[in-house]
Amino acid sequence: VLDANGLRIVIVHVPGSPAVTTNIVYGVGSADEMPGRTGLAHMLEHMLFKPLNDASLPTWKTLEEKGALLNATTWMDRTMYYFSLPTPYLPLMLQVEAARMRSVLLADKEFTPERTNVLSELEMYNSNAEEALGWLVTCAAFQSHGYGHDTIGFKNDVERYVIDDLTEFYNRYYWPHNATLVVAGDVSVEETLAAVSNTFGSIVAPTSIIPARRAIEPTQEGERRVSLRRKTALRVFSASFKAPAFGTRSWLALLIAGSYFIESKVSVLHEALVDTHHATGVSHGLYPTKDPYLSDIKIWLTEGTPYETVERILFAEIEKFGTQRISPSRLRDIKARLRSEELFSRDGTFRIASNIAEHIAVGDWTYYYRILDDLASITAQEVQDAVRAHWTRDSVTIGTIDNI
Amino acid sequence: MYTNRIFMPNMVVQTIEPIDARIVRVKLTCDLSHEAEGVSDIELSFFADLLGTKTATKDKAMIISMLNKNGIRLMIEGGEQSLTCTMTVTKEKFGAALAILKDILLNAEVAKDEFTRTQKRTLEELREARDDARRIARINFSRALYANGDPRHSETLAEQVATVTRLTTRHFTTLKRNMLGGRWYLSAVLDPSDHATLTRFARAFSHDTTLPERSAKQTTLPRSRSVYETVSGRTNVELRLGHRLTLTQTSEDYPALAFGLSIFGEVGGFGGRLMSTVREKEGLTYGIYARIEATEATRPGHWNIYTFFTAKDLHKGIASTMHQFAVLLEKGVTARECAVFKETYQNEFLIRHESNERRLGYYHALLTLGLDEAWAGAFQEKIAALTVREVNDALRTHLDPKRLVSSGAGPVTKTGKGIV
Repeated sequence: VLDANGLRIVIVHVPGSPAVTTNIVYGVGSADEMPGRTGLAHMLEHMLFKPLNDASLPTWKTLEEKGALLNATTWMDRTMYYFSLPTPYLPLMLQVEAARMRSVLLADKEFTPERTNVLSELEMYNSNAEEALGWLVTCAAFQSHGYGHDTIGFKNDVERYVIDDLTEFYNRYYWPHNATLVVAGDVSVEETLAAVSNTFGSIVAPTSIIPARRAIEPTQEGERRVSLRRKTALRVFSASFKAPAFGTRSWLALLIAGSYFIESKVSVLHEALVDTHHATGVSHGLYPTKDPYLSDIKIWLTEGTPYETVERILFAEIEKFGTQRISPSRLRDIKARLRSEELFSRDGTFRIASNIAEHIAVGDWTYYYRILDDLASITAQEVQDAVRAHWTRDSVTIGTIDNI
Repeated sequence: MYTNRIFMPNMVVQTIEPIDARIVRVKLTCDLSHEAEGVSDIELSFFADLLGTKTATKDKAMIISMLNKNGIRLMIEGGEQSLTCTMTVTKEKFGAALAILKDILLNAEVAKDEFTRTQKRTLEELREARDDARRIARINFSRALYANGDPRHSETLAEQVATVTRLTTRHFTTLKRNMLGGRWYLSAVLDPSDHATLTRFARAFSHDTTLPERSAKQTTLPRSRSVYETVSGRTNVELRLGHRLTLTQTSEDYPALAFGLSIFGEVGGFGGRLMSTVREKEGLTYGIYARIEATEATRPGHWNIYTFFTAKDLHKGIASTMHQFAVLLEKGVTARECAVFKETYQNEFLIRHESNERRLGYYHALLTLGLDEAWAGAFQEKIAALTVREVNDALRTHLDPKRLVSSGAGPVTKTGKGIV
């Protein structure tokens, strides 16, 4: 932690790498937005690629012109910005990241065209019926928590907010003590810390306290249903169940359950729905979130298959799953696959930095180093318990596309 | 960093130094372009879906269990006259992984019920693809550029449906025979202690058959035309604009043209002229890029701009894009842009070596395009030495606004008649 202002720093040594990656993660995402101001976190992320209010400061353009691999992403719990370049550029990368933490020029002339770009991005997602259904389901699944809208925000909100809204959001959340900087590469810890101190150390620690997220989602008491009417050839059924937060054993147990039940050509649901021609595909999404979120089961129906049929089969299979334990050999195989996937995702400075940043966003970077041990220790009983506790009618939101 | 190549009959093995020796990444491509009648993309994709579902001694469940137990990630994809297997595995399971892959390919069989399931699923996916404006724009663009018979010519969705419908298990057997008689390219990022294991694996696919060289024949260049198709339920119009080229990756002008097009529409970044104007200044699209595609060591391909606009911004967006194109040809790139992009190229080249995955992707692409590390080095040197005049000459020589072919898909009928 930087004494001067509370910025947290994680340095990962990657021997032999020709490139270094910086990834700064701010503890603010779309879940922190207020009603009527959805999409602000993402819009602000775009504005960090605009000029600074002091023309003498280096900007991201400087790094772009050096050929940096760069971008940013916003999600429910966090906003992260990254650069990858050959190692000698590290001091410059840190200068740019430090400069835009407090010096972005938030002005209408920059904001107006960028808003159109974001609306174009929003249209890109929204015109995909499957994506639009996902938004609808999320909205229905949450009544109070900020997870109840998509990160990009509602179109009406994006069209309406003004530069002052962005300024206020920036001034509230973009401070060193609400950020963690990850540096991954063949770098020395001492030199990196000195460079971080030189660049970020002068940012004055604010007296204000970052507002903590307060909403706790009320317990769901019964299934919810939504449908999207669209002119589309797609026929999608989705069942989104309330799921535990990342970093818990039950999250890992549900990850294993999803793998066994859905993900592979010999999974329970694949055999019950795809092999029988009711569906063209099935998938499971479980996300690393700070607070409890969703476990999404998605089914792409074949033409002519009624939604009721796949729903009946899905819940019958879930019920069966709740009464049977996974065999030791299947459990071992699934764990081996998930372990490998985790290891494969640690390839190169870019992946390592973003992976650790993701763990930071949900609360604990050390979990990056512990997750493999935790995964190995999950039992078949825990998997079964997680299914019984979470894949229930009471906690589900069902979504369908009504083709017109 | 080193790469090394071993040449066997109809097989080239490329080893690449890893950044992390604990993870092995492999790409194995079988080039089927020697087939006289060609194989359609959808046939290859269908065939790829079936590979790994049965072998002479194992059923689907056994194969998947073996992959899982050994923590192997395996993806088999078909298209563009080739089949590619991409495998990732830990170093300790590398030998087991190769044995499984070998069995999947050499002893591939097909179960009738699995074949029927895959056929029905593929037909359903093609039905769903009627919504995929980007795919439709790409298909129509390739059809406008390349005549039937050229491997880059795409079938329409309706033709793909007809192809899949007439497939039988006999096609699987024929495709397997063609695959095993094809030309193979194997790349792996791995520790030197595993090179011998890899070479042994490669020998199983090497064969002495004499195959014709990949055709470099250039068919008639198409005239300028616009193709647009209405896709329901979409709010954006997906767009491709470009034309065929007459140069290959080994042509004298290739580095200058590729470099000039990067300045115009750098892919994936924000630095190209199109991104800085059409997106950043005018706010007309989320992304707009330009590049050379489908061009190999001996075969010319095409260049294109690809983007999307909302229906209401379509004409404004196209006008802005065409204006930038006209400015590019009229005024050319500047000395400052050249200096900036030279540094960009140099650093991007280094970043391509940042992970095992990036190394594999880059060097395997070189291998399958008929290029090598020496070409990559020479290309970098040529870029560093390019003059502004060389870049502008290449742009003016090879890009011709009068030959532009455009393809749009989305809510196009709402917006008027023509595209360009």
